[in-house]
Amino acid sequence: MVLEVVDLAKYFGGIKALDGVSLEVKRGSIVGLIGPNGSGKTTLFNVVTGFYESTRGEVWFNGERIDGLNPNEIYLKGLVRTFQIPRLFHSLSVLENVLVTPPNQIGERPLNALFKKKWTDQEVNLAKQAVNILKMLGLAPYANVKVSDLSAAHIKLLETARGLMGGAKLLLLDEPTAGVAYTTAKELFDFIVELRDEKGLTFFIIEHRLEVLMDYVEYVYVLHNGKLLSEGRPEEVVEDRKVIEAYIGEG
Amino acid sequence: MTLGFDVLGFLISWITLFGTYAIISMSLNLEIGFTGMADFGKVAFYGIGAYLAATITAIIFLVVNGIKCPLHSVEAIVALKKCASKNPLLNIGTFVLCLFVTFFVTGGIGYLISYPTLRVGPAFLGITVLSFGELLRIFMRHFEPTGGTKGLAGIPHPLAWISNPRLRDGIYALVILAIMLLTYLVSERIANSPFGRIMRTVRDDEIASLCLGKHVPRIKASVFFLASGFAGIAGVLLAYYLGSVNPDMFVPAVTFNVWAMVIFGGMGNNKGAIVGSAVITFVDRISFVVNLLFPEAIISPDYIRWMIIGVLILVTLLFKPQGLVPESPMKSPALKIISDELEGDNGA
Amino acid sequence: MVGPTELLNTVWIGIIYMIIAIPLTLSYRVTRIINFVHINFITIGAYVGVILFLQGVNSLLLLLPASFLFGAAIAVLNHFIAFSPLEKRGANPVILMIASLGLWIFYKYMIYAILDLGQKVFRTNLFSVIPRATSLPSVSLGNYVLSGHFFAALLVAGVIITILYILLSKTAIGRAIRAVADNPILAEISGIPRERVVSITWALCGGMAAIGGLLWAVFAIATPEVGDALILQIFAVSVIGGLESLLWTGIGAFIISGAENILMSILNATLGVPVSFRPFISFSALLLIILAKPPLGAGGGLPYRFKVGLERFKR
Repeated sequence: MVLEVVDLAKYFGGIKALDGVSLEVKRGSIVGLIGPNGSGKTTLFNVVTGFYESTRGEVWFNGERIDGLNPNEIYLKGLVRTFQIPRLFHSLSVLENVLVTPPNQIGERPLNALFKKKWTDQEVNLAKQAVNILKMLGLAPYANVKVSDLSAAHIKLLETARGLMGGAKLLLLDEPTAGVAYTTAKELFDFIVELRDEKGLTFFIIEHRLEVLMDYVEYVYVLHNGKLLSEGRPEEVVEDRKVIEAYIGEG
Repeated sequence: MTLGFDVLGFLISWITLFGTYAIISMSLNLEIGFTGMADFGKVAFYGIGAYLAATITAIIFLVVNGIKCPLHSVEAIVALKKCASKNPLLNIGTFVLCLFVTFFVTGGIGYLISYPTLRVGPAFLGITVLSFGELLRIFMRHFEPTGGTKGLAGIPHPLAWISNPRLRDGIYALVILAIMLLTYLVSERIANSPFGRIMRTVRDDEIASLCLGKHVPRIKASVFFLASGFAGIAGVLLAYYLGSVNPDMFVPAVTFNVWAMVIFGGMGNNKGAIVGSAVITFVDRISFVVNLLFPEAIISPDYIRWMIIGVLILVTLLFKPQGLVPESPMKSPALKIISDELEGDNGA
Repeated sequence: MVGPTELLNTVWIGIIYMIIAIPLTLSYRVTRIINFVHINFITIGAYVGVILFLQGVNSLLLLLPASFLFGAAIAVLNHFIAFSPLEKRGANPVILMIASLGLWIFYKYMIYAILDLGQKVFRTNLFSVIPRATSLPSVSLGNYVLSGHFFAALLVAGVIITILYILLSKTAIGRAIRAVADNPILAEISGIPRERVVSITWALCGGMAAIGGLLWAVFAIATPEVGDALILQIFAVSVIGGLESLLWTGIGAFIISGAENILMSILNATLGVPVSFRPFISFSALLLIILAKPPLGAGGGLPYRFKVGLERFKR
């Protein structure tokens, strides 16, 4: 069990964004999180990753309790999340955006930064690894391009894969294919499966494009009004009456 | 008044002012240019540095010469003037000591002051430090041991033992340039390191930076330590140059002068800070001369100078937001290796 | 020690703080800009009153709208020459704040220049003036005289707050302002003309702050530094309101005013703290609030919680 959420709740004043959700994600799996708009999916991610403090409940990651920790501490444990609207660093290049992700770099401590010798070797190594990742993504030609000059599809790709170098064990992807063409979406998901197979990563993915998601995930959770409405294998969930009604209700 | 224009004197006074302000500008640039922290209280650390230098120097000289009297008293000033040039080693030693002590003390104070503001938005940092500076000034006006509103005077110049004043001032200007160069090298080294990289992530999107594992509050506090330390050093240089300090020298207007230099010169790079301070201190010196030549101007040139600064900030932001020297990408040693590697692939 | 004087001071100073701080909170909520020119609105309002007074306009009733108009005009001008163009170029809030800083410096010294010129040309002191415009008659209560201005201030405050309340809650433009303040994206989608709403908000806020400056001049004194002298307290008041709630901004005005007058009086009498240390009180209040209950929603905030040891699992 990589991620376990127990009776998680998050209230904003009178609004119950999450109202007692329990779920689990097994190691090496690709799990989906779906639900109509406003059902609490992003809130769940925000609480799990330490962005918000939970009102009630527990979050366990690799056997360790992580609720209440700060977002940076959770990242360092191997739980990485991406944002629906990509939050890349606009003044840095593509390469630097990837280079920023490995934790605890020697040169990141101000005192060490003064002495170039201390961090040059690590920097070069990390840079080589970063280039390899960019090659894998097909972004190598853009390594020195400023992120603000990239196309939307490339930005999405970079946002998704940036966390790879950070020693991530579980990746929480928030609508990775929003605004992306169908074929690109399929390529992205092929890439995700490849990562899972080769590196043993686990994925928990919020998606709205059910037609893409359903082909790739093994298990799906459905959220509605902050509560778990349904769960199961994609084929079962899609047939579930309650789920269909929830989605029609939002339309 | 004789019309002969003392070019050398003008140059020396300009370079002294420019070097000092360049150090403060670079420190502000570290904060706003690289890390996105809007600090409206630089003058506070400038002032603390100046007062530290004045106090420590006065105390050392009085103690060494066995004189016991309040630092700000007339006896002290007279005594200090008498023993200022007796022992060159004492002067220089005190100078160096003050630089070190001030760097760490002002840095430390900056680190502490930034603490309440590490989480809240940019406006709060600016106004908190601004208020801190003003409160400090009000406090110092009432603080008798350092002379209250009169402050301290007669501070022995590190080069007081050089009898030729022109030579003394000239060498001091060169010393300041050397320290400015050192500040530049340190700032450049920091900016082009992984720490510099994560400084920029805090500027671009501090929340994303936090979510990618960077300890954003600690980054901000470290930057504030360094920048406040540099500002303190500039204060030390000022105290020796003027030979006196008093609280009303350190008003918010000084901070805003520095802001104009950083914005006009170009945020996000150290060269820009230097260029900006060179230009604005030059204009400042020129207007000082103009003021002397036309003391009966219909509108005080001081006011006009400030109006120009305000317009300069606005116009720069509107039409050339990058400033005179736009920000250049980071120079990391890795990048060269990478371009080699990428080229190799393209060739293969 | 704490007598009727302190209480009366608390009231009229609190009223003025309220009149100046509420527009600061409102303009921030609608535009998300920390506007340093707010300082100038105060000074401008004061000096419009002074100049008209010196020309013979003696009635507070006439001075108030004049100050309001000038403050409103400058606020809207700023929007068109600075904030609007910068926003169109995608400037972030820090840049806008710095732009307002540049404007503040410009206006501040332009006011100095104008007053300096005026002093030389008209040979009167303009750097320290008290325009004792006539208003309501005063009332004597034993040893204390409640000046006519005191009642005038109460009246003005009452009228302004009432107008503002009605405007924001009952009128269409008020609803539009609130919509843009609470949810700018939704407001945009609903077809609310953001430009116009923002301009009107600036006019309202600039004018109101100017009225505050005028009242201060009438009650206390007009100097070119009057805005700068008050801004720390005003900001502390708005922070008590969390830069969000107009109600709490209003309440905060009296809290700060009370602390300044009553607390300061006590400290002065018992510990000999000099009166010029008054700003320490607002600053301490500001720091206290930032540490205890930081307005994270306002002005951006970091989702980082400083924790001590294992306190994180205490639930």
